[in-house]
Amino acid sequence: MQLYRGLATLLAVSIAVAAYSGVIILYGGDPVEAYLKMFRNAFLDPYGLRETMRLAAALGIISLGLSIVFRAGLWNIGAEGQYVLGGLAAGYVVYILSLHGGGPVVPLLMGALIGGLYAALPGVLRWRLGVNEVLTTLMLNYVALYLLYYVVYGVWRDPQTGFPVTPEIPSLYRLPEIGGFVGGLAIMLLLAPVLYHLLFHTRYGFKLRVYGLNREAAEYAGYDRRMIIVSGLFISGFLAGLAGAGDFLGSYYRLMPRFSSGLGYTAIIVALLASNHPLLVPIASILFAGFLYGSYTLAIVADIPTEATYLMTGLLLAMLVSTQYLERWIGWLARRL
Amino acid sequence: MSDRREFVKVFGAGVAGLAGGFLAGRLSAGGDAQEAATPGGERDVLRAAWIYISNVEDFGWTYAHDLGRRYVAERLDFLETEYVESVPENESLPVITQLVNEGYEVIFTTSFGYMDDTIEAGRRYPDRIFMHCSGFKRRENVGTYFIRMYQPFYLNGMAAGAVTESNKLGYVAAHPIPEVIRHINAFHLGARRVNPDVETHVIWINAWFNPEAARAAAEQLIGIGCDVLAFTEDTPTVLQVAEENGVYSFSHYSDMSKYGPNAHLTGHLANWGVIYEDVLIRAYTGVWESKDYWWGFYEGAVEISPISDVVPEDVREEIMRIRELMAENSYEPFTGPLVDRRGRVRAEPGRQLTKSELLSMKWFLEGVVGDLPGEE
Repeated sequence: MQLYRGLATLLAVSIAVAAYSGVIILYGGDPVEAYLKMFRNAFLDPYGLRETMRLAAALGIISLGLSIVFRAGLWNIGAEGQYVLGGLAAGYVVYILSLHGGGPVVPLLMGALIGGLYAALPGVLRWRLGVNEVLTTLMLNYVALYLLYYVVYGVWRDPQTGFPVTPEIPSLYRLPEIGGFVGGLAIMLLLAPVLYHLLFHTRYGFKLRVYGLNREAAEYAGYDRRMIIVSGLFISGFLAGLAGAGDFLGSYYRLMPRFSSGLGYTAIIVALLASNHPLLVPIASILFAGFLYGSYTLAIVADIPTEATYLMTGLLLAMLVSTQYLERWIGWLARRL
Repeated sequence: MSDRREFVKVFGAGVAGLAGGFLAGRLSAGGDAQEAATPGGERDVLRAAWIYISNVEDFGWTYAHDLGRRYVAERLDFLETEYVESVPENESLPVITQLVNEGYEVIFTTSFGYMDDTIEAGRRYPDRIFMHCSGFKRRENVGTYFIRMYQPFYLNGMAAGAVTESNKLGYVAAHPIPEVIRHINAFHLGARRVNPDVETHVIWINAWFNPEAARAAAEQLIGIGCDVLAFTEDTPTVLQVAEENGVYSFSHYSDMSKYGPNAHLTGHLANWGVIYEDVLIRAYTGVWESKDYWWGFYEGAVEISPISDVVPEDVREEIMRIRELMAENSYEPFTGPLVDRRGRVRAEPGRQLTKSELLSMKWFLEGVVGDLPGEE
């Protein structure tokens, strides 16, 4: 069955890639050439590799959290908002509280914690009032985004230039340059086995998975529903907030209106691509980061509008959502062979 | 079951192997771009690329830059051009890197927010030329450029001052940055030249591109009695609203007259092409040096639209006279006496504001009404 799922994912990706190749041909490009140049720019160029890996780390850390909560059958669509709020919370520590002690550590942890609480909130609404977390997590994205606009266009705007960006943070708050790249990647690679262990080799992980597979059975077994819902969402929000604070402290050094270009949504696709398996998330996130980074190459060599990247991510999401059907179909085909 | 699984595995491995071999072949064949990009030596092609903050059809800032790109693409036969649009501020470095890898030798980054990334790119790629628009940081291979758009704004202000009946002018403004503040003050200064009673009412919409906010601001200004509306934001919305309400407005950056044939008073136009032409010819012939372009009427980098007949003939003639003086570099709008609205003398009689004073302007002239965040 694992094999069928793997094949189904592969097939889903292939169909998306084939469809996207059609788009490239429509724009008069050569898809093979375009993909190769994307690959070369994203992985073989030293600066490109660095940026791809930075992106992969952020994407991977968010996706790891999502893979946990998705396993519990809870749809956290709010990683985007949790990422943004993580950056904002770190910004609050830097710009308002000015807590110097520990350099980037306090703002980083504050970002993660606030991100976690921001995700736990829909969890509380879920177990107390039965509100669907898909809606609440999604809507809270906009709350975080408008909060970002409020500070960037208003109270935290850089008075020196008047542009809607916050001032660069002092160097004592910055993650060491290596931290933005190797550090982030190391955190992702360390977290992956930890979360794998948590999910597959602890009682807690077992409960999460049982709850995801069959809620009635979990409740019949006496599992604490509240604990599963709130803690599962907290973990995913914590990691999204960590990624947001990490990008603020280690990469951008400031907040701007486009602080997140949809990483929290893309991470959903990455988690699905990895079949919500923590050990596969790093691979999926590196591949996807390469695609995101290389999408500008498509704009350059094939004159495809950069907005068309959304088309590819949309295609991929649609195909991944339908992997269950593909899986069944492959199973049927295999029995015939 | 197991032999079927075996089959799928073997089949899969075969496909993967074939694909891998093919890809490896294509990859090793790559690298053509790098070869073409060897700087220095003999060459017959120069490759230049532009990075835009928004869509080329935004009908404002980016559209005007792209008109400039098309201008040089047509005139310089040694030139190959490329552009990447809608690049967020924090993603310009990846785009520059990929343009360099694809062999582009001169790269224009056309938004203030690209400044730090452009400087970093200059450090990484010392053999390429970078030109950053509207910034103030340079290095030996990174130059800067901007146009003196305040000059045509001054002339637009003269037209506005001549036709207003309420003596209230409106201004829909994107962000409270020195560039926009300069435009507002120049517009107001021009209007006061022909009509000392005018006030200019400013509303910030905090966006370069937000047609809904621009419409709301324009309607609000009309509501308080403004009958001429100027704007610095990247849509023709204000002109459209003016047309609907029977008041006047302008073209911004490029000709917008079709959006308000009756409302169109005149306009302020950008001609980035002349700067691009100068940079690219110098780059091609190997005499380019990092500097700051700060071009206006004198160099042909700005222009005004034809003036509507609604403007009295004597004012039209006066506008054209001042335009000629600026084209000869013998007239500057920001010449003292200039007193800001808090009563501080900004320029004594006869003194012109310096370039750095213009580039850091954070004050409004007396008679400009509205909040100014960070006012000095």
